[in-house]
Amino acid sequence: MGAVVAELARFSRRNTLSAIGGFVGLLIIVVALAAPFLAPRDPLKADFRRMNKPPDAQSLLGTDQVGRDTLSRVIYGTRTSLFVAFSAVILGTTVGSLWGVACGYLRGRFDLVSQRIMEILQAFPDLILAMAISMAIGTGLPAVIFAIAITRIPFGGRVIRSVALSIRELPYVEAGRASGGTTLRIMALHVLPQCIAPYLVLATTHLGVAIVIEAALGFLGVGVPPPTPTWGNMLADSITGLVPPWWLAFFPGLAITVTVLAFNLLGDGIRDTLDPRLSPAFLRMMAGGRRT
Amino acid sequence: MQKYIIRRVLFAVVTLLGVSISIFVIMRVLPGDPLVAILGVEGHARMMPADRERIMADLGLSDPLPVQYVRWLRDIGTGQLGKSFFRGDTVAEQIMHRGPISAEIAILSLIVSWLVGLPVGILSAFRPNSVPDAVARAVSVLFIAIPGFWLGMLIVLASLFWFGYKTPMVIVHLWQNPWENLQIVIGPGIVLGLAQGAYIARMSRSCLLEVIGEDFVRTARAKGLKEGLVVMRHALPNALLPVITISGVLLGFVLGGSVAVEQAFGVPGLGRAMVSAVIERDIIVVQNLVLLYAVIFVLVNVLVDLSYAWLDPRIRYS
Amino acid sequence: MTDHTSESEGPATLDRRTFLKKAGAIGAGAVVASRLSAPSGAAAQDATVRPDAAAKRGGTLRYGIHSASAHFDVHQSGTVANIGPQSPMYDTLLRRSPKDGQTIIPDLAQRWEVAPDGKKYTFYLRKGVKFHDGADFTAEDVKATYERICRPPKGVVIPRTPLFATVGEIVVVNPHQIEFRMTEPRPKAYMLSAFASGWNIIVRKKTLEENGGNLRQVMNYPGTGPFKHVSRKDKEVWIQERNPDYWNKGLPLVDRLEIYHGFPFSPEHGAAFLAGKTDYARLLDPISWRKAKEMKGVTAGVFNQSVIQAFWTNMQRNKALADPKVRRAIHLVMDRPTLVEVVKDTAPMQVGGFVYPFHEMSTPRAELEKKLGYQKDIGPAVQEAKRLMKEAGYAGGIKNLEFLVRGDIATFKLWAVAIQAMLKEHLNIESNLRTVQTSVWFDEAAAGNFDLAISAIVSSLMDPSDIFSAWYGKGGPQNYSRWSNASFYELTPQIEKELDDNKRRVLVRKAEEILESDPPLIPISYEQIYDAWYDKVHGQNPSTFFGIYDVVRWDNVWVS
Repeated sequence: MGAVVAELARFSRRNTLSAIGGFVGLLIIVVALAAPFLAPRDPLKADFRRMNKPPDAQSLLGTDQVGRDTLSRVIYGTRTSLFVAFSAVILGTTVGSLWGVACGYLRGRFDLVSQRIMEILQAFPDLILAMAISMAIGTGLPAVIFAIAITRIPFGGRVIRSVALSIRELPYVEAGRASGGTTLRIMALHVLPQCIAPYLVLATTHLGVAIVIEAALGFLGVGVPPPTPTWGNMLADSITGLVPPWWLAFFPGLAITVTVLAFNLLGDGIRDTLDPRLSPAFLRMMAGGRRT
Repeated sequence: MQKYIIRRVLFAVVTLLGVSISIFVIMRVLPGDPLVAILGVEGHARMMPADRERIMADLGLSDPLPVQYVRWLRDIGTGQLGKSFFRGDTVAEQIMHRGPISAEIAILSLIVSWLVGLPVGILSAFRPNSVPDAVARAVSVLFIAIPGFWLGMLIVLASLFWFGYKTPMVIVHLWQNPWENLQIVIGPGIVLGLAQGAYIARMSRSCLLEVIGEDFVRTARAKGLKEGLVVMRHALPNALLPVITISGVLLGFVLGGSVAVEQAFGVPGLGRAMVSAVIERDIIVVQNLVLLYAVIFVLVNVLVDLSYAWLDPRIRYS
Repeated sequence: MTDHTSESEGPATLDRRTFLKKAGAIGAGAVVASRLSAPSGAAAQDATVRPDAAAKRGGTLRYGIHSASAHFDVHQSGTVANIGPQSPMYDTLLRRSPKDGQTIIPDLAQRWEVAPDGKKYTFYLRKGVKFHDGADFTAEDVKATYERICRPPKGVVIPRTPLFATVGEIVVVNPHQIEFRMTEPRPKAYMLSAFASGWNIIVRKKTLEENGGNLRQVMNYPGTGPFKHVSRKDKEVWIQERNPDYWNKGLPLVDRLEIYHGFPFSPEHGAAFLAGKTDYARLLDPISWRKAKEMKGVTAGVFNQSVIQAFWTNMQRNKALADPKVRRAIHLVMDRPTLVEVVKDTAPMQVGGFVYPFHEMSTPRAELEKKLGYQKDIGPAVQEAKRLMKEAGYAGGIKNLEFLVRGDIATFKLWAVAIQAMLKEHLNIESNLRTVQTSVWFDEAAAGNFDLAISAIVSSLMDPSDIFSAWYGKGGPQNYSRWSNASFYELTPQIEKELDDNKRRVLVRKAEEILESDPPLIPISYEQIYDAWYDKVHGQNPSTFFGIYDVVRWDNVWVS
């Protein structure tokens, strides 16, 4: 326990910015988890006596056209947006990574076909792909999660595949093969552990992207359906007239920015720590390097 | 090299076929009746089943799926990009009319990203961990985090509210009226460009730092060459290569991100056309536009790969 | 029906300040009173549109309206996206006068006669009228047009067909005289309104023949109207130019019409007008409209639209909703003034019941507002509602109603939340909002996959007979609740046939009573239209218009 704390302290000293990001991120997660306790009012409840009120003592961030409290909606929006983003990234990156390990290790036909499938996924503009899939399988929270997850698969696949490819050639893995270990065993015991670090970096990097995609889907009107408050929905709902109430247009966007910022900073720090040597090469690979 | 080229192109074709099948299937699976948008609300309400059959047959939507798919591919092959269900606009017309706007936005954003990202990245690499460097890094991270469509929304609102300004109502191409055309594309171009520029700044900074630490640069310094010269002649070219690679990926980012940003700015580009087509279930338009975007993306990537391969002597001379 | 001459001041006699005051006094809840008037025989028949003596000729009018239509066949359409940009190119047999939007005056038909038994309508057509492609206009074209409207070919769906359900034979007597022989008589005002509807544009017989009777994909088919097609860019602008051979010599007054696409109530539309990029804007959102009102050199007008906003209760799927007491209870707890207030910045609305509150057959607004369900203070209504629920056996409320919402439209999203809150608060009715795209909504509504569903529906005419069949007809396509009521269906044919106004009014009130006690839908509000124009635009003054589908030709409008 003490060792972990010491590790964290060292991390924070060396990458202050990243530590701040991590801390803020943690706060945001807490807000998401504790939403029912933190939100002053029911985000879904209309209050006809307080419609369109600017921020004041009673509603810190103002109210919307039917009197729903903006602060409560932003807080619950945190919950939805984080849930969607985390689920989508974990699902997509994990599936992509496992697939990538298999590709990198097994090579041959499997690798060839898998590569093509991933290219197909990447050739779609990711917003359109997410939109089309989520609408095809019926809009709703699970559909959006699934749709965004699919767009994340190729990234995991590519990066982890490169890692698996390079590990494959290492002497001790060769030795493992020579001594008659089954493919599965070798993949699990030797290759996988080496992939955890890059996986973590990937996941944290794509968290921010997933949040923005989910918000964009909501903004275009094809994301998580109302009345569930998500930041994207709230931005779309704010544009109901010529000059929308500024508090409805500003706060949800601010929430998105702060959250993405926090997780990106955290991801930076993790990446720098886990494998600083690999940084630029890593960036290259994560950018979808086709060299290998 | 020959073999490599052939293989690479073959793979690209396979990818595109895969894209076409995927979008074809997805659009057929989407719930919701395209006839609502075509006939309008009242018309749809009064439609008899017999009418419906006739209309679906006219649109070619009642044939078996494989038949429809083949017909679609054949149409593309013969250059007929199909007609929208609505108004009989052909997709080709739409592309000719709106395509240049979206293309301009993409190119503008690329230029902005390089103009802004490279100098910032280089400057940061020159003075690592100084105050300007910290500021640059903070701003980069900020611009990666701000959602483009939110920024766009705020800009439109601000310009409306404070300056009473509204962009031109009609598409004006560069060759018709450069000033009005600029007004249309500059908002999305800058917003997308700044976000990309942030990635480029970070990328070039770290690549440059890595290269600067390497032997040949030390040698150059030891030879007594000035700092600036060292960077320009030796370090920069090496650092540029990964940056060029990332531009290929950023193209994907632009193609995807432009959709929401176009919506926020109200720019009538292809991205917006795609979104409304998906919502209206204008199946042919969606299929063809998505395929178009995929073709562009795959094409650019093939070119990047080929140029890499050409640069790599192992492949060039094989 | 009152004679036009005994009317309250029409806008032509009001000076601008008084008019603006009146318009300004009309908040979101009130309405400009307008009365249906009869063509008073000869006087109306002479009143072809003449240009204003002070008019200047020439210039361009830039008009902002929804013009992103899904297709080009005006007959098959029900949306302003077609009639808005397309109607300047066509004429109709009869038309509503652009001066007041009410009086029916000659158009392509110079004179008309109605047989005393109401079973024959004869139209004497103008001579020397040409289509845009040079072809002569004859009665054959009228016959082809109306055959299509009355009996559409397979694959063609025309919302106005029910208006002409009693038209039997259409007979061409000679190239400039045509007879409509009715199988049953109808009130004269009703039929003449149908013929004067802006939707029933006259097209060439040849055009219909060449296109298999379906004009959806034909962008430019010839008409006889004051403007001709020049060019069109989808979702941007439709450019039309003056027809130099127009039959009404001296009209139109402007040389060029530029119709810019502006989605109703959208910020882009309002911003474009306020920035001076359009000269006349229709369907403005309330905020832009209020700003326009304050601007110098701008006039802001408001008038009634032919749309009802309501939600439906699926009687087939849900036992509780099948009980009229439950539906009346739901009807009573709707706080209509608040519902209008909720969308006050989004779209202009007014309170109303089951029929247009401003039609002279309907219960007048002052009386309506005294009734339960329409009062400002909802206390008594809520009490009565609770009592009804108890009587029906649902004192504890109802759970798990599925509420289908059209998510593309801001007003429905806002209202759904408000209605959900009202139902829960007063009657403990719990509903779950299911928000879907418009095209999905119609699928689900037709299939009956909902308990509550919110939308808006249109009628072509203000006349109760049109509404009663279009909205409440047995098995009718817009009767989403799947409602039927025997006594109501006994009344409607009587109302359709009754030629005496006073007797008819009594019947309509009886029908209203039935609807109030056994609601086929729960009315929310009636829409209004916000227009605004710069002072340089003259000749269009929509305050007494009904709907945006009749006076849309721009022939007598001029710019200074």
